[in-house]
Amino acid sequence: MAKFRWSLIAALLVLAACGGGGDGDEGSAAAEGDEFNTPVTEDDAGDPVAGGSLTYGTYSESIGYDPTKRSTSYGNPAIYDSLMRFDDAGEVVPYMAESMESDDNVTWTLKLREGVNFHDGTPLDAEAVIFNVERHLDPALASGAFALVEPIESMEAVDDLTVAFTLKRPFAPFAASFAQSNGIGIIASPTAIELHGEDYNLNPVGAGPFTFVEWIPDDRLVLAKNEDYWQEGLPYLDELIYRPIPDTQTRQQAILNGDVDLTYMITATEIIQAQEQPQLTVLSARANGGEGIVLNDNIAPFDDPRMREAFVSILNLDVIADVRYSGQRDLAGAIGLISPDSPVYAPEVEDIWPAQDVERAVELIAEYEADGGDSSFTFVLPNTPDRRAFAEMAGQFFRDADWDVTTEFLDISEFVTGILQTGDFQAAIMSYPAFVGEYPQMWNAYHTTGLSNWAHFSDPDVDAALLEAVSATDPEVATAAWQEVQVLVAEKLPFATYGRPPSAIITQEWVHGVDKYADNTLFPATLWTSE
Amino acid sequence: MRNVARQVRHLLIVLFIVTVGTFLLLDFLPGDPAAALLGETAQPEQIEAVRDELGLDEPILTRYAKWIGGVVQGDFGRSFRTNQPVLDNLANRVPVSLELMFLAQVFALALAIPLGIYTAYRPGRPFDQITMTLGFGLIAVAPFILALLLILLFAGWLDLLPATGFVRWSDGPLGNLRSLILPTLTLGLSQVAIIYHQLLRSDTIATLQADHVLMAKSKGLPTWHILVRHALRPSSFSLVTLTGVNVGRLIGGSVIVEVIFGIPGIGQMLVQSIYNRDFIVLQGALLFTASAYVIVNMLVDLMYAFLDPRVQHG
Repeated sequence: MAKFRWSLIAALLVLAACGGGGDGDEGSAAAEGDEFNTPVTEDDAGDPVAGGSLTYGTYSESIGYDPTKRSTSYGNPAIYDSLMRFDDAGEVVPYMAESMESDDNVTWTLKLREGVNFHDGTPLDAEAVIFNVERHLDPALASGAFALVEPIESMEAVDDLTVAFTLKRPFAPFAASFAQSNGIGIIASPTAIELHGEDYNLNPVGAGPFTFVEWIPDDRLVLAKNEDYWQEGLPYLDELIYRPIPDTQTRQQAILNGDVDLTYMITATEIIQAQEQPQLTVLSARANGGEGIVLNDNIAPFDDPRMREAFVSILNLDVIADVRYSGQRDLAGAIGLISPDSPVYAPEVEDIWPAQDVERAVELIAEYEADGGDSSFTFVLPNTPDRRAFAEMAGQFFRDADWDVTTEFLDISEFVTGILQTGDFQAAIMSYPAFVGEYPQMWNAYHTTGLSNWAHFSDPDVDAALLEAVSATDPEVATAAWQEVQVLVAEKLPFATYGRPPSAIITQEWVHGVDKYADNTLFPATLWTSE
Repeated sequence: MRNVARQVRHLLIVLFIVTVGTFLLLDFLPGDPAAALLGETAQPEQIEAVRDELGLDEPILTRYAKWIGGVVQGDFGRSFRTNQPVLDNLANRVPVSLELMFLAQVFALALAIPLGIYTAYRPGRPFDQITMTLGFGLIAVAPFILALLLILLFAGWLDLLPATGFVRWSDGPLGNLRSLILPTLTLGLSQVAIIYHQLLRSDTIATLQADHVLMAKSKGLPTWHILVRHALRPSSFSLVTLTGVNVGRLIGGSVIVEVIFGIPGIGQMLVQSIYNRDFIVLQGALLFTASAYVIVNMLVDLMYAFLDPRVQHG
């Protein structure tokens, strides 16, 4: 009896590991070799139908819905919408705003649409925009979007629907700041903020397609259709529910089982398993961002460019693809943080970035040692199962190059505060999460003053190129400058990227009208259900 | 009555030790809550502002005094992250966890009592052996594996129950119970059922040797009558104790079960608040858990008096 039971459990576990079966070669919606780039396509489900309710399973819970909070607040686009948007090509276009223009990147004019109201009836006017921007500037609120408003010198309501901004210096990404996922284009009702005070975070009021009903943290966010939405005929849904499901296995079962209608997935394994289910649609895109190892430019041995090159040269991308990305070779081998699908991508980095070459690495290390350097270093990682698996694999790379490396694991919070923020490390694993646009992430990652420049990388050419990119009035000049940044970074290698963070939105077959950014920020006004 | 006063004094001492202990422990935990809150791109001035706002720079004694002073007045503070009052959070979650633990206890007892009595009545038979093997199998399997197996079976293959998620009682009692079936099975089976069964079985075997049972048998009373009326009550002492002690086990088990099934209870609150370094929330949840544990055990003590009048004299 006992024997039978254990063989049953073993069989069940094997099946569980296979994600309930289905063969891997068929049923995959994406083209071969490009499984992680399936942008939203025209839906053949016919005309949208109004009504119904959908539940969206997300992988983490939000800190709240105050726009100054630093958090991936999945519900924000539903509650607030965004003044500007990125279109499919990555260009900034007006959305809830009517226009945003500048001749010199110093003075900017934002024009709002007439008749847009918050859910509490307050008009979304120039005063409301100024009120919100001022909150991001308030040091006491420690806004996550501070970097986006920092260039503002002054602002003024020219009339009810026009705001004039004057900046301290030419700043080209200013319009994009109003389009970013956690940017300043998220406008909250000033009346509600004054009414709720410190409870506003729990009672958000925006002008987006859905109104706030209730939020029970770690359980669900319930939203209802906004009957007075600025886009005629939208939204289609009567109700939209967000459910955080942090456990990967559970989240996967929830979508397989139909408990949720959409999920947001972040590991290659779960995305691949979803692709094997013919009834599910996997929507992913190659956003900017990257996973890699920060090589501290301030501390030996990685203050020496030869050692940085040696490090990149030992990375075996085929093995990384197997261990980290469930065999998805196209996810491994990111060069820098800008995706090949970005309008500013510099293809020449592919020729500059060091290819895998262990012999070359051994030579470089020997050369460095011959000059009196000590090539040994400590590699720091957060103490999570996926990072441990990575360290095991990396250990083999180091041994292949006969490199003396000590590996150290730390609690995630300790890793951030004790390692990254103090800068007291030689090499540390790090991910830059998916993003669209270039500013502020590129600036923060590579500029001498960048907030997430963990490598303490400081290069006058890179700084100059970044400054040019963010201040150029001519978009072509700006693009050229962004490309130069990529080229310089590929030459100097402060951050040894090895892959792109995978992420995708998975939908059931009855879900249509998905409108999202490459970083999977979901704008739910056009969502509809055929069930 | 004197007994109750002693118990309450005992409760207060335990709670004091628990709150001081956890306050110290959390202070030793690496990781700055303000930095955890603001994320990787926080500027030093912003971290300082938030530390100031949250009062993290004050000495630990001051912080403890402020917190306990608030608690005494019914103010458990606000979450570092969401700014939600901790008491609101608890009020949302306590009924959920209580319902889950109650159902798990009821289910475990409903399973263990008949099985325990029956296998005590016929020990060593194949049915007894099968029950025991299955029971030990269940307790050997980690709860999260049992949970995944149950999800796979009932949600995946049979498609009878939701894999995850929780429906509130107010949104429909049927949906509520449906959403709690798998978590209850997991918690009951993996944490308590087998222990109850084993205990009751061995105690009942002992009771069945007792004189009054022999007497009842010789009077020709039916077997079920002897088992239920004469053997169950004297055999259930240890069971009652254990039911109380097991509240601790259930709280521990519910942490895993709630996280896997996405049930918004106290267990999930504990885990989330540790990840988030949301110490005020964690303190509130721990205070509640510790109080619940102590109070249940107090009630168990009092229940002895009911089950066995001799306790009063002792």
